[in-house]
Amino acid sequence: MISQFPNLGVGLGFRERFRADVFLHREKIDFLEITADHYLDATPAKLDELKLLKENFRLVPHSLDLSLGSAEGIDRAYLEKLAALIEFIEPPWFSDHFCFTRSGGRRIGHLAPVPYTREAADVFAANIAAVRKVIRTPLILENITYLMRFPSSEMTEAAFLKTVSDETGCGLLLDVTNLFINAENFGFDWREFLDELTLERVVQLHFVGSHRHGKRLIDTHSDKTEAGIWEVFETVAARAGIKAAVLERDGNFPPFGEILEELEKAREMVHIS
Amino acid sequence: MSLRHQQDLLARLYTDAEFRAKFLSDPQAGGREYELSAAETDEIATIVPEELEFFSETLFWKRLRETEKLLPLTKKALADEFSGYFRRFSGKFQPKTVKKHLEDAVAFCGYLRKSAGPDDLTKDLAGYERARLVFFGSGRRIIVRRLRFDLRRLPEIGRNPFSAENFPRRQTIAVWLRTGGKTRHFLI
Repeated sequence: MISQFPNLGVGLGFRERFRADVFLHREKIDFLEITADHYLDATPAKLDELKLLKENFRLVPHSLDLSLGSAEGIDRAYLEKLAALIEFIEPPWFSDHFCFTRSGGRRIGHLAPVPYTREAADVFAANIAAVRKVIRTPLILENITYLMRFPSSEMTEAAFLKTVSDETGCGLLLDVTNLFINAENFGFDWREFLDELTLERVVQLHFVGSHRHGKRLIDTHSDKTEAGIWEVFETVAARAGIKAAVLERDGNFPPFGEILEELEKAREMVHIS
Repeated sequence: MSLRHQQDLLARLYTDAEFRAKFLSDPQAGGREYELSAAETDEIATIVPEELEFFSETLFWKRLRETEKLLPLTKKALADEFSGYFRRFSGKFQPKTVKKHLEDAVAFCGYLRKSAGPDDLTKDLAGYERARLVFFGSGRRIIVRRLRFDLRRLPEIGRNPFSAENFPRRQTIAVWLRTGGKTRHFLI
């Protein structure tokens, strides 16, 4: 299944700030990843923007709030809105995260980790099955950063990702920046993580720089990709038959030329299969 | 441990600073509220308080930054006091929909207008920005808002600080109108 996914090349996470530049440099951007949530319950202006983007670029939606790790299940209203968006865009796949974002009537507002347990893997499987009943487009799942780990975890993060991916058939969106940050903050070797993970399920990569805050690295998406992250990127690109890579820049925006340089550097490293 | 009960508790810990402080001082009381056993509560409590606090603060600062982006005039009027007001507000308000930042910003303006602290000009600016957000966020055809200060001078102020001298008291009407596929804005 994953081997049949189309090759999209190296793309950019679309932000309003980039609106003019992506059209000016259209030939240097293979596709755009849009934040799905920005177009749910959208204003007429946002819908016009979406139509314009669709007419000019291949789009892949990236959602933030499916909360696939929520033991209370999927939010049906959110799922139906996301399904309508995906039906309109007709992407080759869409993505969300290995996390939960709501529970007990509270929206956390960020991607929160789950313990790596059999119970949590079953929750993902059940929620993914519920999503698939409504959305037939393939779903791929992204690893997140975390600032805490649960003592109740029964397996490593890599084993958990592999378990869920194997049991559900979902592809993986490997965020190499998130992997680098977690490895730095918790002192593990990202190469061992890659060895444990099923790299043949990796469909897409995310990359951007990390940001140092005191003794920790955090994922603010506001810095240029640094050498350590390029090393992870290059290693994964060489070992996995990836179909796409996306630069995710959300703040501290540089001149657009710097963004294009990063896309070009990624393009030189990937061998899109 | 039930993952669902654990997640209910964690979501509250991440988003409610008052509850988080209570839990960290007496974990068992917080755990009982979520039907967790003593052993289960102990496990949550083993999460290092600094890490829990840091994650929760990350969430708070993210909400704050997004709200500041949506309310540039209110931010400029309140300057460094903006974050203090937002911290008091954010513990009491939870967005419910996918437009969480918009919900935060609109509700925060309402909170400021009812608070005793901000001056009348700041409350007017918050009301003005709230009306603008509701107009662009809802797709409504028209929104009219009555103001107590003459905000027609906003473009002239530029980067200079806001003050009551810049904006004389004067009944002003702000109108946002959607017509013929275009949006129009007037201050009368």
